[in-house]
Amino acid sequence: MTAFLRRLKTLIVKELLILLRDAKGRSMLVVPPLLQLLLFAYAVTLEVRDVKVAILNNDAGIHSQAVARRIKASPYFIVAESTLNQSELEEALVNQEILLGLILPSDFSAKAENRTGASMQILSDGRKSNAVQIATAYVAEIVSQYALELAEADRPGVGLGVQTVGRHWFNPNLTYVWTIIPSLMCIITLLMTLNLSAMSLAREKELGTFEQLLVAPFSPAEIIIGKLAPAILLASFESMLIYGLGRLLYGVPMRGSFLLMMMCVIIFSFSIIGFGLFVSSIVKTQQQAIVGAFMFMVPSVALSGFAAPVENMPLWLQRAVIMNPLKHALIMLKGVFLKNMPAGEVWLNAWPLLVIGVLSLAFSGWLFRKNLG
Amino acid sequence: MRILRALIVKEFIQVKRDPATVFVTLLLPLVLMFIFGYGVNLDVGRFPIGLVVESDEPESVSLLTAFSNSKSFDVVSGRDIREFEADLIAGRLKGLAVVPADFGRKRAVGQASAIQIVTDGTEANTAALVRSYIQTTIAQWEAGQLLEQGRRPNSPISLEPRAWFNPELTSRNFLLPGAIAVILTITGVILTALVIAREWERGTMESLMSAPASVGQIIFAKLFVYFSLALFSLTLCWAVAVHWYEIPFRGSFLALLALGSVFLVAALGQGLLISALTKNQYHAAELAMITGFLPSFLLSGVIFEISSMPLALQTVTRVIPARYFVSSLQTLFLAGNVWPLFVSSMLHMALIGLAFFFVMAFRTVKKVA
Amino acid sequence: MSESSFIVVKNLTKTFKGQIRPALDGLEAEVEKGGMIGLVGPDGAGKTTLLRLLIGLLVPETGSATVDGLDCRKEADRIRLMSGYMPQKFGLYEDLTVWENLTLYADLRNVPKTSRAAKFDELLAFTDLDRFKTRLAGRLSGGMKQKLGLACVMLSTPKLLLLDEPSVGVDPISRRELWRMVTKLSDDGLTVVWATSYLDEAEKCASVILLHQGRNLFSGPPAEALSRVEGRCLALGGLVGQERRLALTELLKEEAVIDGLIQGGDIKIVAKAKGSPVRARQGAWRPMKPSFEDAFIDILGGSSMGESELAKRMENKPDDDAVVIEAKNLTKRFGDFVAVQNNTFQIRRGRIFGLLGPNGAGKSTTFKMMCGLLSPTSGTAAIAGFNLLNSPSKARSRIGYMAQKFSLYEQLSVAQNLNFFSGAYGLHGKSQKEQTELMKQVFGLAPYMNVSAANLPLGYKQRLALACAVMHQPEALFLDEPTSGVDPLTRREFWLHINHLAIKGMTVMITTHFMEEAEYCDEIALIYRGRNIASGSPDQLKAMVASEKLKEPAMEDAFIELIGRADLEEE
Repeated sequence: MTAFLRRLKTLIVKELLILLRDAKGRSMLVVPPLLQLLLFAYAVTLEVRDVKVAILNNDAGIHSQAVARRIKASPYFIVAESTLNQSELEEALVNQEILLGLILPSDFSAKAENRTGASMQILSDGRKSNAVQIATAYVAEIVSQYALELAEADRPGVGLGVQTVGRHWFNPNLTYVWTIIPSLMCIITLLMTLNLSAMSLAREKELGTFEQLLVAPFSPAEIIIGKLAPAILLASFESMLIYGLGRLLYGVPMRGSFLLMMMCVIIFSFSIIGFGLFVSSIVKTQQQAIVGAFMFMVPSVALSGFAAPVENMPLWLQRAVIMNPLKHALIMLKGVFLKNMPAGEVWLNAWPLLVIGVLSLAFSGWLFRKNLG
Repeated sequence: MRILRALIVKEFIQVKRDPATVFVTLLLPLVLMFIFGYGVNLDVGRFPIGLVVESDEPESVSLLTAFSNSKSFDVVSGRDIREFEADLIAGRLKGLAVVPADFGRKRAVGQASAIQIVTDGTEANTAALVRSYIQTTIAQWEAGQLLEQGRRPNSPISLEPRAWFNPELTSRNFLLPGAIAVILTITGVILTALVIAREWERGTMESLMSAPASVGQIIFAKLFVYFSLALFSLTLCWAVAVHWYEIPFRGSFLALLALGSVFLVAALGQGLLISALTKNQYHAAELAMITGFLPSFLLSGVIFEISSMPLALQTVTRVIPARYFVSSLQTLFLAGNVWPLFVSSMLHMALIGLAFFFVMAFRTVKKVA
Repeated sequence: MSESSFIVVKNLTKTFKGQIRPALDGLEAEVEKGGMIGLVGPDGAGKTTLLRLLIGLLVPETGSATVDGLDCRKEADRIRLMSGYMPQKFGLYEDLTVWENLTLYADLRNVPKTSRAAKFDELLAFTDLDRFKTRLAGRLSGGMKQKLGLACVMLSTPKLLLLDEPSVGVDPISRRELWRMVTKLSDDGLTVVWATSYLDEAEKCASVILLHQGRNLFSGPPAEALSRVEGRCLALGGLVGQERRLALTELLKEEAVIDGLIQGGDIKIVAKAKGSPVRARQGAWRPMKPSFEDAFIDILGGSSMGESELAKRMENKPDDDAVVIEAKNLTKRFGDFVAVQNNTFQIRRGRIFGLLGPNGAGKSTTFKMMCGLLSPTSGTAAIAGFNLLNSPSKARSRIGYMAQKFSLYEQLSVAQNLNFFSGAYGLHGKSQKEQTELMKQVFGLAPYMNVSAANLPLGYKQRLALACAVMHQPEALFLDEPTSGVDPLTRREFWLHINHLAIKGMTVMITTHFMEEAEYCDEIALIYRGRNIASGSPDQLKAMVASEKLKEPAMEDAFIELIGRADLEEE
């Protein structure tokens, strides 16, 4: 038994040395995750701020002035000078100088005063339809608030129908950064471990040291574990780095247990590495390995729910993405960080990852033996 | 000149016989168009939510019906909010609406009554949407109720939103043109980031240089071929977008090629710089992913608004060619030829591209000597 | 500097980043116009660097070089216009056909279209490649690639041909053909610089420049070098098997002997001075014609002497005559193609066994099956009685393997490589430390322990690879072309170790292209077209082809002749 462990130790030490021995390699382990964290943490926001808006006020009455003032005062909007005429406004819209053009017709204040249904036109740039929807919602909020005040003036206490009170659980201020950090942890882990595991075997084959491994008394299982373990170690290291930075720099809370988080990371990286080794065992050159890794990474990120919700995908695609490890990892890690997700719930998301990992590793091992002839 | 032509012919022949290149220029864009078209969708989906109806009042029941009939939700109903807590934590429900026990009664007498909306704050991109859809559903129910009772809807002010270029506000119409920029970045950067390394490895770089062909000519020939291939990929993506997804295309194909060409100059330059800076393929691959794919996906404005990012980050996006290409593509497809915009984009991209080439040329000249 | 000097090199120095030694170290040389000049030296001697400097691919740090009066720094373009450079690996585009390669080079060299057709036909006929016009260059055999490479550089009718190791990795038959072709070209007036590590080729050149560690050790006609060792070469015959090795080790301890090697049943030595008495061994010493390698060794000051420290400290293997390496009806099929057919042989303890044969003949496939890299389609391969298929770890732990081009972990240091390989074979704790220390001492690795394997000079890489292969005291040692490209001194030292290890009972299987390495073997199997077409001791094989015309054939002659015979049989 101990001979087995010793041989494993030899393999693992070798892998780690290759990773850590030269300064460039070491910096590649730390600098890219850092950069990505700093860059992307604040990039990923579906909030809309500083929206460029133009107001064309064709009416001189108090209500139109009031509404215009409120919009100007809003932190969401940056209002251009309201001296544009219609065609200038439209041109600005086409040239993407403004996102929304608000047009108050000349009878706006009159109609509002008489409660006969005043209406404001919103011309929006449909090329950025997502931002438009959110910005329009902001405008609607301001306008309905004003309308509510008008109604209140008429009949105090009538309200404007049903009130709603919203609460964002787990993240009351909807601080995007809190959800981004766990997500980035997953994505960065995906990137680093995929690259490592896909390239490492391919590189050994290209350089000729793979033959040495085969001749030596290593069994295929030992060789695979020898690649698996260091990669998991790497993934754990990266995650701890991101965890530390996330809590220190961005104040992300950790409501679950650190240990549970690490277990999620380990299981996630296990599934990724399994896939990476699989790619590594079917390609002949490092270049092919790179293409293979990319082919896995890009769809994983795009179809994980990170950018767009899984619920928006067609049903058949929703079922297909069960095979995407990143999807499960995102749920697990956000759950552990912010929701104090209980272990049982985490397990429901974790076991598909184990299955993916085991299957791909088994397949790699089989390919190994087949390649030996 | 004839040397260049000879080199270009050689590159084309090699590419024709190289399965990996064919794969990256043909298959990869198709697969990615597929993924971005179906997988990344910011339009209204169906969200699973829980509706807590604390009493059996007719108003509450009517509200429940309204939710159940809504296309946006898959509703599970219950009596107590605690029934749904675990589901929210597990992510099985994306939101809850709690209709209090005295909802109907209070409404009848004109008193304010609040419906609690709880959303999953960890799904930042959906939480706001879910809240807004629930509010809309409630408002629509409210308006329906008032209409039945013959009363006018209360709001004295209404809005007439009109979205230009994309009236239905279909997210796919702006996502896919943007996705083309992402796809082209990927193919451009992968193709070139590995080019120089591979040539040195095969030992043929040397023999080319010993013939009267300068490093510049060798690299230009390669770039020319990869450039043509990428333009071909661009055309392929365009065809898929217009004919399969039926995205409107109101601009001219020529403008598409012009924009694409300038963009590719920058993208290929970036890939080339990466392959010249890193000396091994492992690091080149990592850099390509980190500085190619991720920024084009996250920082180009395709999905996440640039103007919402912190100022420092906005400045960073100015050196990402994809940013300009994305907005140009969205305009080209949905609005048509808006040349002031295009020219400005092309200038920016050209400048970035030139900067890449300059740095690269500087480094290469140093190395060979 | 004589009037007719075509190439003049003065005090040329070039160092590469990270390397310990400079590639060229104040090199001085002159080359006259016309004829074949051999640029000789082992890998790492500086041959490729010199050639690249001459055509301006590299820039020297100090010194100058001129070709026909043109300066290599400033007028490299013009030098390229009048010369043809064929780099290692021939500079061909594997994805392009023969015709396409020629067209490319013709375009690059501005060969006028009108004369192109005629030129192509001429060259294709000359190189016997016109049947293969549409074949992809990657699918050509080594010899054919060589010829195509030559055709491509000849397109522009250059005045100077620079060939960088054109015969590396190519079987002896093709080597001879290429030599014939190039000599004919030089007879027609071309100046040819033929860089090689094969000393027998150098001998045939009109004049040679001997490079070693970036310096010019000797230039002039080969005969001049040979005259130095005239009368100092002696041979002793009539010894077999282990006896030869024992005798050699004794002789090498003598002061009067500066070099010795095994050649079939003979031991050949180079004495320090003419007529030096050789005390250690009495017997029928015959005078031998000196070879160029003898001259080279003499110029270098003699090969390393004494016993093998390594072997002294290795344990003795049991003194039985057991069969250590065995192949029974070994067959390997790749789809329809039968690579190896029914090979059977037995190698007993302490013997050195050689697998010879042209590339693609099944030699490497057989070798790989014997060390566990490939599984046979049928038949068995066994080490010390353990079947490689059924008891893989038992069999493998008794094997030591040294691959061609060494396959070390280049990113790791010497110490880390040693640790890895010893750990892989189960060494740990005290024994691991001891063995690592032993290797460090025996191979002189102490100053390099923390150097990346990538930056080691070639000789040290080989030593490290050998160390990693024998650290765990294997019963069977597999060597895959272990000394290709290495300088004679390092090769001698290597064989010193191997011989002594064999004396101690290690069993060795080796594949090689070097005919003189084949001489060290006790038994050789010549593999051609997947079958074992001839086996026996080196002398026996030579005897098979001895005839009136060829009374004392060399190993290479035996090789070529036996293969020729096999071809005739097929028809």
